[in-house]
Amino acid sequence: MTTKAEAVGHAAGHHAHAALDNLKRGVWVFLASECIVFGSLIGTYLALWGRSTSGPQPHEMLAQVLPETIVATFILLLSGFTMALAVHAVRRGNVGGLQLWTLATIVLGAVFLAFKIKDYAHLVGEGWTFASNIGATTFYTVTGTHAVHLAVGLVWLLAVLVNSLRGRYSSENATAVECAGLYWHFVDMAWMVIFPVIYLLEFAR
Amino acid sequence: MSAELERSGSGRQAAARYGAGPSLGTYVFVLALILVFTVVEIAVLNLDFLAGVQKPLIVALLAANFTLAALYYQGLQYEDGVSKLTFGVGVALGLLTAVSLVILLPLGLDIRP
Repeated sequence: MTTKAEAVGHAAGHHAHAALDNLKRGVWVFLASECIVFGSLIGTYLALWGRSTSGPQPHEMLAQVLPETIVATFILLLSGFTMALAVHAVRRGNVGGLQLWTLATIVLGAVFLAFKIKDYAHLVGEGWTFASNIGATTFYTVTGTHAVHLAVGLVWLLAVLVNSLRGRYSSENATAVECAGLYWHFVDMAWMVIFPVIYLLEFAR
Repeated sequence: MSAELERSGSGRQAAARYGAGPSLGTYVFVLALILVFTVVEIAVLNLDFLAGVQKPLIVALLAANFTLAALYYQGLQYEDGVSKLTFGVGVALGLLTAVSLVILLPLGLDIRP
């Protein structure tokens, strides 16, 4: 037989868990909508592929940054693994592991972003700007949207790291970390599509 | 330390609340597969005997990478039906949007004077 206080406490805990479950479900809905955003951007890139009538063609420019982009891609793929390890750690109550792997993810993500900025600087320096032709416009729109998403993910992960250092996460309270992980993996997955479609199909026969 | 926590009461409660999720071994295996698929994606560009099938091969490999990351890194494999359906519908609509644009946008461009 439970006392009134225990019943109230149980109900409060149930509501807190329901709110956290709804938070995660909300992130799934958000990511589903993001699939449509990236689907429309990538579809537009493919639809306008090879229609540049002036300026340097995309394959001429992308060939210059392909080696660096390949390195950056492997760095981002590795960040997906470290993010998975961060979520794995907090689910098991290993807060130290959460902090270590979140920091590793932030560093890897920041290095990827630095590679992208360097690539953009190189391409713009070569005269291939956003307004050069339709190939450049769609290239910068798709990869730039991804880069902005990645930057948002870095801010989110920094918040996770700070909150973790303040002792806000435990094996009982890991939904916020899971949500950040879902978002970071989505950014990773978006690049798994963007990299082959934009950088590799350009050279495929 | 992690193993101790896993055996502890709070670890068991958390496992019940958050589900088992993929094991460490699964994460390593998935990473290995994704890295191999990505290396193959890049390598096929240099394999002349694959000319003509390079594009479908790259698309198949990117789909495999995306699916692996969704199922195991995001843990969709271990989520409830509502979350699976939500994200699945999003992916399907994203794909439909992309294919529609690829088919319809050039038609719109071609009818311009």
